[in-house]
Amino acid sequence: MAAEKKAPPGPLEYLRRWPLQAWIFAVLAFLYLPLIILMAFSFNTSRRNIVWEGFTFKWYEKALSNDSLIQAFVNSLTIAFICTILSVILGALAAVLLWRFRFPGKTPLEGAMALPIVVPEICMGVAMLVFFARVFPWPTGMPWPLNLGAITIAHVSFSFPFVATVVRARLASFNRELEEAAKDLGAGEWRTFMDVLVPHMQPGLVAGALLAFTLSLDDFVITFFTAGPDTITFPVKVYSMLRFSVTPEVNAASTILIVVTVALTAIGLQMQGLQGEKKP
Amino acid sequence: MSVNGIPDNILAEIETMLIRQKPRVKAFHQDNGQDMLKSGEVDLVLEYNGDIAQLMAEEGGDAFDFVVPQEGSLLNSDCLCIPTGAPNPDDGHAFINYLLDGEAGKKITETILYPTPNGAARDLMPDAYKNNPVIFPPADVMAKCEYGAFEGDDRARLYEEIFTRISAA
Amino acid sequence: MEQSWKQAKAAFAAVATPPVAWLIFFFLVPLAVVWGYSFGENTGPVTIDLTGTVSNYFRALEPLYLGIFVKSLGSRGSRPCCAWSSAFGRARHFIRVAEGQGMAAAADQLPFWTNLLIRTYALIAVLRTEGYVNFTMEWFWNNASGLMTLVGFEPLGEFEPLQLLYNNAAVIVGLVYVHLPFMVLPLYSALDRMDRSLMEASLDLGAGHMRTIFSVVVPLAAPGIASGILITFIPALGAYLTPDLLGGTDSQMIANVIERQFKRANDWPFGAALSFLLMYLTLLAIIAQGWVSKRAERRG
Repeated sequence: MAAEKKAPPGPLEYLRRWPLQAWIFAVLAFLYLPLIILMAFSFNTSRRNIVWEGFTFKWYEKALSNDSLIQAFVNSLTIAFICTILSVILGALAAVLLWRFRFPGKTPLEGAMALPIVVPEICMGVAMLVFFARVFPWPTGMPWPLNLGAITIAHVSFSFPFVATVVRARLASFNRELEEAAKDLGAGEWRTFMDVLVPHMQPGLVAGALLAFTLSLDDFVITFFTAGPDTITFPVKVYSMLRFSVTPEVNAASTILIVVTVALTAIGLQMQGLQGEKKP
Repeated sequence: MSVNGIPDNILAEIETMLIRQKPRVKAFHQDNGQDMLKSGEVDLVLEYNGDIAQLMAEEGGDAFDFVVPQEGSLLNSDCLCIPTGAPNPDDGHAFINYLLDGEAGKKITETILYPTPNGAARDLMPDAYKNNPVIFPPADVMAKCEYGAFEGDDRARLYEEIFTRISAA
Repeated sequence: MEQSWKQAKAAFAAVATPPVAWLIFFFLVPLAVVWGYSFGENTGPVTIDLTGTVSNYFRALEPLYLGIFVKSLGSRGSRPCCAWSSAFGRARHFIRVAEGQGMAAAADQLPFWTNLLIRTYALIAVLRTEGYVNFTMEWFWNNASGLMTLVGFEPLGEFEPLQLLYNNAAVIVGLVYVHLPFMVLPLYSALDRMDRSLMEASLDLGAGHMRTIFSVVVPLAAPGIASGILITFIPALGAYLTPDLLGGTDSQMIANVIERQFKRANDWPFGAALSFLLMYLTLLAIIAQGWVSKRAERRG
């Protein structure tokens, strides 16, 4: 079969135009270069993270046999997972609340919702520390994963306003007539919410979930203040390892974390894709 | 002149001197001075002798050295304490006991190469460690060094404010 | 478009209770405790007496600290612009990807699931005096020098490595790197399902691409842009790790000062006062911005 000539890019097909392609390439390079270096150096023989000296798997062996590191991994992923679920729920509810209703105290509430974004992390970390020490002591010695409660609560507190902001931006483009049409057709509040509003919010929810997951997984400062010796998370563990010395063991651990999270996300998106196909 | 009880006018002079020096200072490092030194980022760093001893013990370590100025230097020690009101003080004591054990102390010292206060551990270390002038500077050098005393919260706050001013200048 | 809460009380209660309750109990209460501390005094290394004094705030308003505040706020201004423009490009990319939209979003998020500290150390490896950027440039320089001697010119002088680290530029790069996804996500959320026919109409009417972007897409995406700027600018103000690790002697930001108060200086009341002052200033900025955009809306 004769090869077809490529049609020139249409006016809106930005992706095929070279300026945007070049820009995207540059941005991706910026984002991924340090990461690639990080992963490459996890195979480096030299102890320090600087000069390439040889190829080895020994850092991976060390990382995988480091029990406290593995535990910290698992803790971080668990907290991020729970935090994402809770944040998306709370954030979505808050967004709908602020978008739909007029009520006394609305402006102060909007201000209060902006506070977690505005508060310096260290201030919030100290606040959480004092809170869990004096005001609402989280029982110690609880079995996993309940002992991660204090950290999870702190994470949700600072994530869900971010989610709410993102979802609210999304809701701004919602046409209320759709909602009214659904009600006219006899759907109750709950049905309208689930079948009309939520699908429209979905990109906002997905974006918010990714945001919350990232915020929780990467958080250092607030976790540092709320974590205890038996509830250490990955960033805090890495910090203590880095304080001691920069070894490629940390690189190896990070590479493993990246691979694990990519796998989880791929599975999650795959499931979402399957669900999407089922809809008529 | 002692590092403790510095009179205020001298403090002002010190501040001016440090501000004047700032253009030649790369960074006020966060205890990672030895990494900056090894990577060639700086030629001179103010660091703890143990960190530099670790650097010198590695490959290519003979490119580095550690000196104490002739005026002397500041001494620092890591401490362990059990706060009042701690729920499990006996566990704390048990842990401290463990750290003071010879074998445990030896393992720690082998890695961090700081001068150890743990006599039992020191006895178990090789001569290369015991006679290392970087780790154990000679007596005349030590005589010129002193510990910084805690001079009260107000004084600590004053020093912090001076440092903030230097950083902002 | 909004309806009064009285018109749907059950729905209102259902939607309002969880987030508001959480916000109050797990956020406002802890914060109130620290707010109380800002009116207190240290009566010993670990005790704080709530004396109701305002001396901490007075101290926070001294020229030294005010100057640092202003500097922190100012240097953050350049950042959102960089983040925004790069994010914009990325976001457009998303909406053009027909399938696997989720994967594109996740791919963008990927660098940010790496620990911040590690990423910063990796950035340091790239930007150092003997890091990758300088390494590559030195290679080019030496080769260019060699070529010039071939042609008969004087060789270029010794390669002077670029000082890319331990200065304010490095801090800005580090902060953009950290906060990029926070800009992309709201933009993506707002740009998705934007009516593309509006863009086509604009192009049909003869406007160039740039004009279309600035006159059609940007106003439509305004809520996304605004929330993105909010989400990136403000945490950047409170960041202390990045200036700590990447900055030089001139890169002290207000967050670093606050951090020192809570740690080395052991002066929680003063740290609390500085933090709250920072928050008040930022809130003022947000309110001012909201007011300005409302006026623009009314005019437009």
